[in-house]
Amino acid sequence: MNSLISSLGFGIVTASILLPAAVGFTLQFSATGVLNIAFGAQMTFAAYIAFICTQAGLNIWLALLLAGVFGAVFSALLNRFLLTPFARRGTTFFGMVVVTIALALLIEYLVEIIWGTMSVNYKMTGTGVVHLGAMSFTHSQLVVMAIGLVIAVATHSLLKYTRIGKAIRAVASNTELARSSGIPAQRITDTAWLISGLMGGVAGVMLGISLSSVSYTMGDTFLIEIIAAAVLGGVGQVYGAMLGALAIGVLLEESAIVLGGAYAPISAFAVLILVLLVRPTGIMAGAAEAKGIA
Amino acid sequence: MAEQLTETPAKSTAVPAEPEVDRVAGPAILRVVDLKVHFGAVRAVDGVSFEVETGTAVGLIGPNGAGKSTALKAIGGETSPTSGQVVFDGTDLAGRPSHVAARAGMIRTFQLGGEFARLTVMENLLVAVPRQRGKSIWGALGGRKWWGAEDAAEVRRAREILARLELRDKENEYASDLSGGQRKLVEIGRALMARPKMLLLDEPMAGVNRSLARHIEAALSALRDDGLTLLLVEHELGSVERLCDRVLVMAQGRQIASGHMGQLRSRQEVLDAYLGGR
Amino acid sequence: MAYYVLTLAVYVVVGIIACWGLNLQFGDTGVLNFAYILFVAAGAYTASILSLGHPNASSYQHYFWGAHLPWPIPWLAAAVVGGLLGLLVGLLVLRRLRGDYQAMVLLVVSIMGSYIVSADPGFLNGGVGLALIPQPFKGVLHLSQVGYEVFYLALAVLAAVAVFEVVRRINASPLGRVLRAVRENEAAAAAVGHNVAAVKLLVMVIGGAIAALAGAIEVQFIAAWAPAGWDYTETFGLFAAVIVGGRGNLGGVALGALLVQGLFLEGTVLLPNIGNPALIGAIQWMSLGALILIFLYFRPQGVLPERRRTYSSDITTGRNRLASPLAALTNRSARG
Repeated sequence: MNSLISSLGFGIVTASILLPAAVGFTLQFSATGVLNIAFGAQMTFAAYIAFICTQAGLNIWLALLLAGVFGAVFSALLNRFLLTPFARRGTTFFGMVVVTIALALLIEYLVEIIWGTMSVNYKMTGTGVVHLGAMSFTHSQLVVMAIGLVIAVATHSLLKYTRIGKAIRAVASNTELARSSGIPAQRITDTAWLISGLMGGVAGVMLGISLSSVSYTMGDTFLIEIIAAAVLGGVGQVYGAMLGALAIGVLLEESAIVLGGAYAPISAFAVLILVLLVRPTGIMAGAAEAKGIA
Repeated sequence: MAEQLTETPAKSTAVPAEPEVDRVAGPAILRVVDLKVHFGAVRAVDGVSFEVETGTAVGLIGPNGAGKSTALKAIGGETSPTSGQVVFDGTDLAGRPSHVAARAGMIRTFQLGGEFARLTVMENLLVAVPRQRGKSIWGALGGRKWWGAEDAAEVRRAREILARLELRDKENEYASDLSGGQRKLVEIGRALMARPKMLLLDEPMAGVNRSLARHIEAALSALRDDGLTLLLVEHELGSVERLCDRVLVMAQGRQIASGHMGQLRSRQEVLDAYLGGR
Repeated sequence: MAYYVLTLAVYVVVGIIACWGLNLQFGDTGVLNFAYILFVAAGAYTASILSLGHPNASSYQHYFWGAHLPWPIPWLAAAVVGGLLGLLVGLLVLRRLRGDYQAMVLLVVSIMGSYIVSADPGFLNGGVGLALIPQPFKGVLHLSQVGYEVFYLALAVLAAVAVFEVVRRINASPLGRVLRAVRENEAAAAAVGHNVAAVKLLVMVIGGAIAALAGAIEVQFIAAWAPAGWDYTETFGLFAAVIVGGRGNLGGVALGALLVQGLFLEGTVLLPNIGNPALIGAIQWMSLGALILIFLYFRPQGVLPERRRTYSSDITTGRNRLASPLAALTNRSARG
C-alpha cells in the first residue's frame, strides 16, 4: 500500500512533465491541423540546449527557461520555413505527417551527430529530499511539479482571457467560427507553433531533470506517452490533455509497482486502447461533438 | 418523451404519437418521420416529416442555416439522426451508415468536392457500379478472365451516360482537372452508374456558370422524366420551380411550408423565413 | 564480393515485397499504417518459432512454443499470422476511430508490440531476441556459402513473384478502383455504396500478410531477430521507399525499395565502414529524412508516378491502353 502511495508521487511528477508536452502537442495539432511527429525530437533538442547552458555554468532553472525560448523560436521557424511552404503546395494531412516524420529523423540524428549516443546529465547542485506521508520528493522534483502547475494555470489564463488565446481555442474547436474572430489565420498558426515549441522545450528539460539523464532518443520514446495523453483527452481538448497527462502519468508509475517496470508502458497503452474502444473520440470529446465537428 | 409520459399510461409509451406527416397521394418511396439532428444544444434539424412519391422530384429550400443539407445528410446516412425514421423502400434506414443507404438504392451527391480527384472521369463512374464480380477480393484475384467481360459492359454503359451528360470527350481526364460544373456532372453520372432508385442532390447547380447550370438542370429533368425519384437541396429557385413537382420549405431546422413553388412564392411565412434568414 | 551482392539482393527483394504490401495500404487505399513494421516482425517471429523446434531444445533462448516444420510452412504460416494480426489491429483501430486518431494509435500499437516482446523474456526471448534460426534446406543441400545464397535468393524471388501477381491483380481489378476511390474521398466512396471500414480492413489483412511474409523471408536469411531490428522508425524507411519510388505504381515502388532499402540503408552497412559506424548510421537516417522532404516538395508523386488508367475504345478486347511508354517498362498490370 505504501509503495502504491509513494509511486503516486512519481506519477504526479511524470504527469507534471507530460502536461506541458501534451497541452503543447494537442493545441498545435488542433489549431494547425498538422500532426507533429517531430515533437519528441524537438523536446530532445531543447533538452540538449539546456545541457550546453549548464555546461557554460548557468543555473539549471535559467537553462530551462532558455531551452523553452529556444524551443519556441525553433518551432516557429520550422513552421515558417518548412511546414508553411508544404501547406502552400497543397500537401495533404497524411503528407504533412510524413513531412514531420522526416523532420523528426533529421533533428534526432543531428542531435546524435552533435552530442553522440551516450547520455549526458545536467550539473545540479545538492538536491535534498522532502517527505509528504509515504511520498518523498527531491527538491528538483518539487520544482518540476510546480512548473507543471504553473503551466496548467498559465495555459488556462491564456486561453480564457487573451484575445489570441480565445482565437486559438476557437480554431481548435471550429475553423469556420474562427474565421470570423478577426485574427489572421497566419498569426494563429504562428502562435500555436510558438506555444507548442515553448511547452515542448520546457517539458524536454523537465524530463532530463526527472530522469537525471539526457539522451538522443529521450523525446522520441516520450512522444508515445504524449500522444497517449493527448488522444486519451480527446485531440484538440486542452483540458482533456491535462487530465490525460495526469491519468497516463499516474497509471505508468502505479503499474510499474503492480506489474513491474517493464510492463508499465504496456498497461498504460492498453488502458488507452480500451478507452478508445469505449469512447472513440477521447474522454473530453463531448464538447467537440456539441459543435458538430467530432 | 416527458410529455407523452404524462399523457399516456406507462404501457403504451413505447408507441409515440404519430407526428403529422406531409403525405403524398401516390406510392411513397421515401417517408421521413419526425427527423431530428441535434449537435448538443444546436438543433440543426428539429422534427421534419415528409414523403416523396416514386418518380417525382421534390425540392428542399430555405434560407442559409435552415438545416437542409444536414437533413439530406441524415437521410443519406452520412450524419446519424438524433431521432426519427427514414423509411426508404419499406426499410427504416435511420442511423444506418451511408453505404447501406446507397446499396438500398439511395445515392447522395455532394455540395462540394465529391469527386475522386486523381481518378479519371471513367474510373469515377466505374467505382459506383454495384455488385461487380471484380470488386470482391476473390473476384479480383481471379483476374481479368473472371471479371473482364462484365467490366467491359459497364465501360460501355458509362460511355452512354457520359455521352448523355456531354462529357464523352473527358473520359480520360482526371476529375481534378475538370471545371466545378463538370465535376458536378461527373457526380451525377457516377450516381447513375450505381443504378439508383432515388438521388439525393445537395445543391447540384451551386457555383456553376449559367450555361452549365442549365445543362445540369436539363439532365436532371430528363432523369425525372425517365422515372427516377429526386430529392434536391437548391438555392436557385427558378430551377427548383421548373424541376420540382413539390417543394418543402425549411427554416431554423423546421419544415414551415410545402406545396408547388408557384403557390409558395406568395406565402407570407415563406417570405418571412427568407427575409429573416438573410 | 559475390557474397555481398547476393546478401544485398536478398535484402532488396525483401524490401520490395514489404513495400508492395505497404503500397497496397498507403499508396492505393490511403491507410497510414504506422505499425507496418510490427507485421514484418510478427511474420519473422512466426517463421522463427516454426523452424526452431521445441523450446526445450535449446537452453540459451526461451520462447513460448515452437515446432520444427519444413519450408514453406513457416513462410505460409507467417503470412496467415500477419493477416490475422491485420484483422485484429484493423478491427481495433479502423472501425471506430477518426483518420488522425488511427495514425496515432497505430504508432502507439507498434511501440506497444515491441515493449511487450521486450518485457517478457519467456515469450520470444525478450530484448535479446531469437538466434540460430534454421535456414530452409541448409542441411540437405550441402551447397557452398555462395551457392546457398543463390538458392535462397531464388526462393525469395519466387515469393516476390507471387506477391507481385497478387498486388498486380488487385491493382488492375475493379477492386483496385475502389481502393483508390477510398484513398481519394472516403465519404464519396461510402455514398456510392462501399463499406469504407471493410475496404480498409481488407488491405490491413492483405498488407499484413505480405509484410509478414517479407519478415519470414528476412529472418530465415539472417537467422536472428530482436526488437532492436524492428523499431518503429523502420516503418518510416519503408514509407520513404514508397514515396520516393512512386506510390500507386508497382514498378516505382520496387525502384524506391531498391534505392532506399537496398543501396541506401543496407548497402552502406555491408560496405566497409569509413570512420565511426554510429556516425554513418546517423547520416543515413538524416539523408533519408532529407530525401523524403525533397521528394514530397519537388516531386510528391515519386520517380515513377501512378499510371493514368484509360480504357481502349475497342473495349471488347477488355484490355487497357497504356498511357505512357514509361509505364510499359515498369508496370505490366495493364496487360492482364
